[in-house]
Amino acid sequence: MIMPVKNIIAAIVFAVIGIGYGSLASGLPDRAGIGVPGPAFFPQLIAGLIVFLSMALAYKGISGLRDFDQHQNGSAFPIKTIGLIAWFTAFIFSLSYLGFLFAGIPFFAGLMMMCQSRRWLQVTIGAATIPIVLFYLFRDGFQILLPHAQWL
Amino acid sequence: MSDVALGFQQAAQFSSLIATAIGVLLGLVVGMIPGMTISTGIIIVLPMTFALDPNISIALLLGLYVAGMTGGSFSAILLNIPGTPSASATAIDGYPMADKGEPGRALGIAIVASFIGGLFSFGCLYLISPFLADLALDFQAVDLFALVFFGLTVICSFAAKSLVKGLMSAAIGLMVVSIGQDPIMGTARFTFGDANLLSGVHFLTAMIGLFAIPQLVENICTEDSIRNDNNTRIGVRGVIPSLSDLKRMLVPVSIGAPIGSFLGVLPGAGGPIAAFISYDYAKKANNNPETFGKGATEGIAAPESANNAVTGGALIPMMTLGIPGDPVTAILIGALLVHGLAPGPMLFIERADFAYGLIFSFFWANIFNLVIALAGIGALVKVLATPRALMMPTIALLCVIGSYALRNSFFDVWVMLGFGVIGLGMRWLNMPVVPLLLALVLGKPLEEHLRIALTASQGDLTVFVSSPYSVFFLSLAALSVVWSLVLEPRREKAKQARLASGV
Repeated sequence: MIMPVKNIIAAIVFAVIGIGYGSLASGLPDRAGIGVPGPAFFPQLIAGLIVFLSMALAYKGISGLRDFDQHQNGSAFPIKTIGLIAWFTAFIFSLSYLGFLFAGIPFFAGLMMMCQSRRWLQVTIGAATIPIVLFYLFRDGFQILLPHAQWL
Repeated sequence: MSDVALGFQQAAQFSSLIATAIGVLLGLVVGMIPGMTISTGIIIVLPMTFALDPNISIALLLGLYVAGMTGGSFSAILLNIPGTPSASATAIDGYPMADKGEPGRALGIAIVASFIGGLFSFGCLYLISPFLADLALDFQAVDLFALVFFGLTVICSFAAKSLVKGLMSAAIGLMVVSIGQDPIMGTARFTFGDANLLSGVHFLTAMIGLFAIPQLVENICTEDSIRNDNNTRIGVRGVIPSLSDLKRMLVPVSIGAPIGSFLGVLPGAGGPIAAFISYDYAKKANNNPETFGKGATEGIAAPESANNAVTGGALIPMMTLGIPGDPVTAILIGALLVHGLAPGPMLFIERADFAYGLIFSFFWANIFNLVIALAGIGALVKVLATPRALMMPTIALLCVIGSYALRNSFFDVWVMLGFGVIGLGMRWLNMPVVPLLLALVLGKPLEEHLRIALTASQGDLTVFVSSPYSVFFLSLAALSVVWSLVLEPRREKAKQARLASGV
């Protein structure tokens, strides 16, 4: 997708966010006196700023479309990035059930493979040792307790 | 005993010195790995510092900060791939010198120039900070608002290629900051009944996501970064600069160090700008400018002294005003807040020993940086051959640990991931994350001072022009915005011209 189109899409998203945020802010309780800014004052100011900047971004996008060089290429669909974020999400989700160690080992192995590591011995040793070392380093070295498996 | 002596004593304690040395070692390693920024390095180390004494924590982080700048030049010189953006200018002459068979000489010049730049900025930090903190004590709410506002606008102007995107990034940060209890009345805002949101989004959690996740994605998903593995078979000898090189370094270092220290003070300006400006001035001041770009000693010394001088400069507004000059100092503010220490003018009143301890830790960091880099360069460059397949998953785990360990909360880990996605979206849009990050730090004081000033004046807006400090900072803020508005079309035209000529 080319940058001017991205700008226009972003402008619409930001405008929606700004308006939603502003309307939520206007519902905040006003406990301040007359002429004194209350809790809604600052968020309303920010909401106004976001809406104004969205319009500026939309203008930038539209004028960019006019001047756009047809030879410029857009970026490809980031399928690997989405896969990585999904893998991260699965790891965090499993963290509370499996604990750091049991969730960390497959997560680590998966990331190693995403880094195009095809040496199975390296993947096995790396995924088995590094999460364990980190777990005990933080638990015993820095007194930071990491999540445990619920079923243990 | 005076506060200065107490500070020196704290920084010179064995545990602090060891922490500084470890920080320097880590900084050199982190800095030299292409694709790893100093901010990411500090984020990785951060969870380990939670359990440490504040003096030791800050010594470790400062060591990493200082050495990270120097480490960036190693890969710039040896591989022509700057480890950090600040080292980009160093590659122009560093790599040709290494290519001519003198990698040790180029590295030695970079290390010594970094040391001199760092030491100069230590002098500035030591002399200016107490004076500035004293001055800042006179500031009223309206002045503080104007100062914070200036800090934010100047970051938006400097950090972004597009002012609109820079301001939008800051506005998103301010929106995030408004989640939780408001700073004056304690009213819950945008919490949707969730107790986790009452205390707001933790700044460090957001930062881990914003910086580390996009970095990880880039390193794991980009084919080029994977292919760059194991391409280093480097032998480094003759690192100590000769007397003639030291003489040739004198002028460029005298240019680079003051420029770096000055630009470090300005929020958002940062190492890369300082390095390129110094390089340019050093070239203009040289009798043989045609040697630049072909491995000139001066071409390495000027940017290296400048980017290391930025570190001390950036610590000045952080310590005295609580305003971060760059992402790293923003993280340092977060690290100090975790330990219950709020940077700003009151730090020099309430915890002057700690403030001076920090300044002297910075001094030791520069000393260790010189010694460890010169002595260990041969072994350190081997790190460039570490498999990315082991490094990236380790960083991913450390990000999760860092966000979880802040409050022992899974909620924070989800927030970290959420900000990672926001960071990726911003990268997709070519929107800078630095204004957002600094808005997360400065948002609360901005709102607080604005509301106090307006409450005291009963909503009278002329209060903002009633104080000379306020007028000064607001004028600078306006100037930075106008400057950016003038520069942006020129940059766009230059880009179009480059595209048209096919360069």
